Parts: sequence; structure tokens; C-alpha cells
Amino acid sequence: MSEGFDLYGFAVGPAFTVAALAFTFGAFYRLSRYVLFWRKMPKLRARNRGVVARVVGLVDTFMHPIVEGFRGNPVDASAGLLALHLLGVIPLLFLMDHHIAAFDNILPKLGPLRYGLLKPLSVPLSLTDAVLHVQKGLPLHTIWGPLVVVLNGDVLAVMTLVGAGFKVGLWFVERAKGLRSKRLGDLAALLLVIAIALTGFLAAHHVLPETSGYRTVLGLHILLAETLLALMPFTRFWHFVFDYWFGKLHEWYELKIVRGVV
Amino acid sequence: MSKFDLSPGSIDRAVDIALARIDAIMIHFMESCVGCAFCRYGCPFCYIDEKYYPVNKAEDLRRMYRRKMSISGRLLPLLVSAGMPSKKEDIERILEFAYSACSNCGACYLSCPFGIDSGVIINVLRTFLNALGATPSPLKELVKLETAGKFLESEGLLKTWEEAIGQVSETIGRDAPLDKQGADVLLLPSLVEAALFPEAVSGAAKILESAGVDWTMPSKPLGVRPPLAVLVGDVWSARCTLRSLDEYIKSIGARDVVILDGGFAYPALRWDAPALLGYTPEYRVLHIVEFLHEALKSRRIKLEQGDEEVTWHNPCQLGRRGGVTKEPSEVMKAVTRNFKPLPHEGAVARCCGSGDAMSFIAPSLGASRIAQLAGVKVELSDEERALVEKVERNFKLAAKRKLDDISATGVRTVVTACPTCIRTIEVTSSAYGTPLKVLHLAEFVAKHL
Repeated sequence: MSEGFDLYGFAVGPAFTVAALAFTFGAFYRLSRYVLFWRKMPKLRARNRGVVARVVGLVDTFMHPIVEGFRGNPVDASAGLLALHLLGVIPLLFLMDHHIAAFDNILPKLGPLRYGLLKPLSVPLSLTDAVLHVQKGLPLHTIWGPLVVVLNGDVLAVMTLVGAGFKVGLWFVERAKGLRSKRLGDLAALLLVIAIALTGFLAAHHVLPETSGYRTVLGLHILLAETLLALMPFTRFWHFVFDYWFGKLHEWYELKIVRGVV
Repeated sequence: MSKFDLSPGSIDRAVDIALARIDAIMIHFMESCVGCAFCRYGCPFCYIDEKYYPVNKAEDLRRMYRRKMSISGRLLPLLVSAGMPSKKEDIERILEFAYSACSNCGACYLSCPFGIDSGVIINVLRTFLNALGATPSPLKELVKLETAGKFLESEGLLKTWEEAIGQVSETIGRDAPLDKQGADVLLLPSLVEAALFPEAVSGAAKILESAGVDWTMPSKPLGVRPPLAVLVGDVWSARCTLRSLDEYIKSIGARDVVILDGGFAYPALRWDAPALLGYTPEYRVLHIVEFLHEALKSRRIKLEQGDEEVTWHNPCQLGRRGGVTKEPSEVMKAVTRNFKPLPHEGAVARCCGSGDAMSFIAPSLGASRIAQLAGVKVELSDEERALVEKVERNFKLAAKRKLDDISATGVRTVVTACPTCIRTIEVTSSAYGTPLKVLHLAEFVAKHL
């Protein structure tokens, strides 16, 4: 290890504390606004469509945009939704071997409940390892079995890069068309996702020689991820923590439960 | 445009008035958009021009919100796109988006992955325009006519109302029951229906008679199409109109209020009124199709089933926003053996292309008739003429998907239940060279009693 500044040590040390504090403050700030701006309304006389209709309505509320998206623009939905989210960021972030180990270490444990319980769902880091394991018939400690050939860190990172890259291109195209809803902050957010996935990919492949090089690339990866964590409550990244769930559940309550839209 | 003041103080005040409507749910609508533009898949206007994507139409309000109500908007306005409208072009753009490219159909609400209702955002933009004095004159004059109660001073409108009452009396074979205290059901037609679709009013009266209920209707109109003020985002005036309606209904003591309007008036009276009135009234607000559905189920009414080939267009405000998605097709099946449902119906019914405020701006949709009857003269500026042309052009283009849906069924007669939908389908189907016959449900059903 070089004697210079150790980026990895900084990233897992003081930077993590700062990011966690920023996230906590931001989350409190965002949620408190909902409470402070809440207005009590008279109770409406709901149209009762029955339990079954409400459950079906709940599924429909979440599925309708996805179905509409694939019908309306299959390319955009495949890249932006499927590649970026469903096959990219979500399994990569929450289920990759190394991430499960890291989160298990960082997140608090509630009795027997710990992040490590997701281990059976984990996906391996490397495509090569995954292929070799499958070819040699070696045991795989995950429920995915031979699927790890596609469900692994390398493939998922590429999916993320393809999806986010597509979205960056689309940002420029739509901005050129004069759509004012394309904000600079949106572009910055996408570039941050790309930078995180890219540095993670490079670290996994030990792209820089020596331990110091590895620690630098991995440190950069962690630092960028912490930047995302700190910014999360103040940016569009908040959508998967809160906005998505609140928005769809509110829509379900208003339209399906109260008004009885079936 | 109506003349408006573009001084920073005036804009600032108008923005403050609009942002005063921000509550917890609006905060979600303002802050949760990720710009995916999935909202466009539902919006009928996005097929005209990409600039009409709901996310893009909503951006002006989001910019104001960020500038005034967010830390990032104050610290990093360029990065997060925060700012205030300042130029005439800004106001003209907001006017175009708010009045010529949104029927508040609610389709964007369903197709948004985050449950953001862009129609509500557009309505708050109208609050801003109204506070600035920039509401389009044809609509502004009608709102004024209603909220100031001036419609009761108009001989033309009162005569129209009396004629509608006369037609009701003729249809039911006795004097129309007017302002009858203690009646179970209050039929509440609007002046728009009395003027443009009197057969629907008399049809509804015949339905109530056939159901054997104790009913009444107002001897004088209670509004042009109350509460019109919601269309311009004027919450205060809408509240005043609703209070006077509420007082009248309570003075009658009716258990049910039956309306014929499946447009904006339905969700306003059924779902939004309690929030504006500050309490939940005892009486129920029902659309005539709900009344019919209940009456058919309880066998209080008997229909002679016919063989007409017809389809049903579910008005967005009645269905997607109002929740009356199931009842209409059941009623239609009881009326005719040849009911042909549309490929997209119920919650996902396609918008007819117009509605909300558009119908009071486009002369071809009939609202100018109300102004004529009321003797209201509307002088349009050059900019307003351009806006009116945009409204006329846009609703005709936006209607194409609905007309495609209707032509897929092969029928030539459409039954619906909203004054705006009726006129829009009539006008647009003629414009595309395939004129359709469009009837109000009450008129259609009355022929089968």
C-alpha cells in the first residue's frame, strides 16, 4: 500500500459518516414536509367495490404504467426500465455478493433479521467465475443455479451502463427538441449512476495493478456511491426509497379505494 | 389575452396565490417526477406534439415551486431548473399548455409510475394565470356570469330555463315539480344542458317519474354549469358557488341529488365538494347513470330492451376520475341487445379530445351559445384569437384516437353523458368526414321506458 492518501480508507471511514448523516437529515427534511403540509380533509363517502376489486386495483395501479410503457415505446421501456432498473441497478445494488456482505456489515441487525439473510438470492460478481462454476458443475450457493451465467455483476453492470447511457442520449435528444422538463440535475444524476457502475466494474476487474491501485478504484466507487447516498433525499434518487411507493399507494387509495375506479 | 400585468410584483403575487394550494399531495406531485415521461402514453395531446407531454406542461409550475419552496431551488437554480416566469412568451406558453392542451382527462395519472396527477398541476397553473388576470376572456366572462350570480339577471338564460321546464312538463304529462320541499330526489340540470340538450333534461325527468320517486327540480338555474370556477383554478369562487348549491339542496332536504353532467361537474360535486365546503354533506350526489343502475337493480324501473346498435363513451370525469366505470355498460346492456363496447372502456377509456375548460373556449363546442343567450359580448385580442385557434385545432387532433376506437365497433350512434363529450364527438366526427349521432344517456334511455 502506498504511503499517500488512502482513498479507500477515507471512503469507508469519515466519508461514510458524512454521507449517512446527510442522508438522515435529508430523509427527515423530505418526510417532514409531507407532515407539515398535510391538510385534514372531511372523510369522503367511499364507493365500496369489495375486497377483491381493491386487491386487483392495487396490482393494476402498479402494473399499468409498466404495461403502458412497453406498449407505447418498447425501446425506451426496455432500456430505461428493464435494463436500467429491473436487470441493472436493482439486482446489482441489492443482491450482488459483495454488496450483500457490505450491507450486512453496515446495516443494523434486528434480532435474527439481518441483510445477510438475502445471501441465498445473491448473484456472483464475475461472469467468468459464474460460467466456470456452471461448466464444471461446482456448487453454487444461490437459488439462481445456472442462471448466474446472466445474473452476475458483470452482466448487470453492463445492463446498467446500457440503460443509463441510453437515458443520457435521450436527455440530449429531448433537450435539443426544446423539452424544458429536461434538467441539468437529471443529467448529473445519470452520469453519477454511470460513474458508480463503471468504477465498480473496473474495481472488480482489478484494472489498476497492485493493492494500492485496487484500493483507489474501489475507494472511488464507494465514494461515488456515498455521494449518491448523501444526495438521495434531495434528488430524483429518492424515488425508489419513498416517492414510488407513496405515489402509487396514494393513487390506489384515491382512485380505487375511495372513488371505486375498476 | 385579457390584459395582464407582467411586473415582478404582480407575477410574484400570482405565484404565491397558486402555491398557496400546495399541500402534502401536491408536494409529491411537485417533487417526485423523474422525467421518465411515461405520462405521455395516456395523454391524448402528446400525439399532436412532444411539447404537450404532461411532464413538460407541468414544468412551469415546478420551476416556480422550486424557486419559492425548495432549498435547492434557492441555492442552485440553474442545476435544478428553478425560476419564475417573467416574459410575455412565458405566459403565452403557460396559457397554451393550460388551456389548449389539457382536458384534465386523468390518463396521465394512471400511466405515471409515481402516481403524479398532472391534471391537478395544470389546474394550479390556471390558478396562477387567473391571479395574473390572464384567463382567456370567453371562459373568464362565463365564470364571472356564474360566480357573480349574473345568470339570474339574463332574460335569455331564464327563458331557456323556462323552456326546458316546459319541455319537462310536456314529457311527464303534468307540471314539473319545482322546489318541492322534502322531495327524495333533486334533479339538478345545468343551464348548459337546458340550452344545448333539453331532451336530456326531459329524459331524466321521465326516468325519475318512471322510477316512481318523489322528485323535484329548481325553478331557477343554480349556475351556468356549476362550479365553473374550478376550471380556472379559482378555489375561492368555486367554494362560494358550492356553498350556495349546498344551501339550496339542504333547503329542499333531498336525500339524493341527481345530475346529468358527466364532465368536470361530477367529480367536483361528488368528490371535491367536501374539501371545499369543509364538511361531508348528508345527501348523495349521483349521476343519472348511477341512479338508473340502482333503479334497475332494485327493479324500480323497467326498460323495453331495443335493438339499436350503439356504443358507450365513458366521459373521463365520470369514469376515470369519478369512479363510475362499471355501471354504464350494465345499463346499456339493459337498454339494447346490440350494445357494442369500445375497445378501451372503463378506467382506460380514451378521452374524446376535449373537456374541462376547452369547451368554454372553443366556439364550435357550444359554450359561445351560452354567452349569446346571456348577452355577454366577448372581445378577443389577437393573442386570444390565436389561442382559440389552437384549442380548436388541438381538440380535433386529440379526438382521433377516440374516433378510431369508435370506428372499430362499426356503430354510428354513440351514447354518452357529458355535454362537452357530446359536442366534441359530433364536431370531430364530422370534421373527419364520418359524422356520428351522439345522444345523452338520459335522452336515449327515456325512449325505452
